[in-house]
Amino acid sequence: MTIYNLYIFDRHCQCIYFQKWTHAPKGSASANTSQTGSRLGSRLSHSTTSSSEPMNTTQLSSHNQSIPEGALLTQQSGMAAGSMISMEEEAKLVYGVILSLRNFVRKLSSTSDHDGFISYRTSTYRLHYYETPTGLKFVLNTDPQTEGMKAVLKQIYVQLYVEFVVKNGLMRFDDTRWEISQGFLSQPQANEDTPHSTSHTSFTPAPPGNISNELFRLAVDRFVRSLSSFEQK
Amino acid sequence: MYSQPTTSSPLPQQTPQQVQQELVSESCMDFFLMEMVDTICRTTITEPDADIDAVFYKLETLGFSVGQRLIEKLTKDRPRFVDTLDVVKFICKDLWTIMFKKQIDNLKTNHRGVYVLQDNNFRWFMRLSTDVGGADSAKKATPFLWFPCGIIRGALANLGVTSVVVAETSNLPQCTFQIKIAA
Repeated sequence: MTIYNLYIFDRHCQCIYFQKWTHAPKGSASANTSQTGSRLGSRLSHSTTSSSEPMNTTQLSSHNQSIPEGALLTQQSGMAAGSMISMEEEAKLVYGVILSLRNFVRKLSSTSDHDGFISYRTSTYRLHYYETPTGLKFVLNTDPQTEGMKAVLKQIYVQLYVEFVVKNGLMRFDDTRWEISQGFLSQPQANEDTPHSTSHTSFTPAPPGNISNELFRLAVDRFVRSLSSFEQK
Repeated sequence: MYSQPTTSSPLPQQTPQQVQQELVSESCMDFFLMEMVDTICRTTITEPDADIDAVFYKLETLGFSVGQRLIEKLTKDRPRFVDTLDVVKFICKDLWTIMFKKQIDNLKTNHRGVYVLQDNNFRWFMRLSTDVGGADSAKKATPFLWFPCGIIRGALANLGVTSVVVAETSNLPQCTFQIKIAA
């Protein structure tokens, strides 16, 4: 029983967090590696063409400086081996699946509470879903034999997301500031070189959608590895 | 007389049953302070001729007034202070406990008017973190330190000690405040 990866989407259909746990194939002596990726979700809304893969990978490599040496610079998708699609495409696909399933279940269910779509299982994996009242969607992919993970996802939200993202003074959420709507401040550009900016631009908020930070990443990693469903092959 | 020393409305005629401690939600306070720093940063850089010193000045002056009033309220039942070292020790222990629920971890002095206060687990930094980490996080977290600088300076000023306070952080969540007493 293992856990494959975790996605977090916000209510603007952007993937704001992705973390995956890879497992060494049987017989290999290498330890499990954990690859994390941070998403500039605004790129999902700013991309004008769908065939922007080469641009995505270079921008990704300029951001993921913390990825250990030897790991792939391009974020390989967690999908079936042989299909190399970019992270952005994969996130869009996953989001489309959960959104349509959720609406479908909601239409079919007789009760009106929002506990409709919880998880689905295929022959190769099981997807667990948890949605918060604020529109945050947590998606967890595990192997087919895992039991329900709704409590785990809720714990991730309450104990990790609220603690390390909401209470983080340096994390900025969707820019619904009054000044922007009145036209007093210009929209912040999705600049790629925020870490190298001068002290003047260090006060501009990060592009909306990116919630990845060290404490959150480490905490999620530690938490998932401590679960009983997470085993090393 | 009223039995509870810390009341929100200290009227002598209140009976003990009416005396209640009104508390504020901790998360609300944290969010408010975070947003205060961010708002001042954001609105100051749009002004003409504004730079990072303007932000420092605004936040520090805010803290100054807050520190002055806070110290009036905190010391009303206390005996007089013996000397400057006593004042600084009061700040390290009582003021820090009231503001951050812990004391200063390390106090150093050269006995000639310079005090260095070190906090190894600054409460406002406990959840601050960025993706890049290290020096960049420390640089982004520095504006959060200017408000406490002002509070310390205001507290000292109202107790009769003129000073200059600067703060720095090299790796979160540790930070140091340096107090220079004017001769």
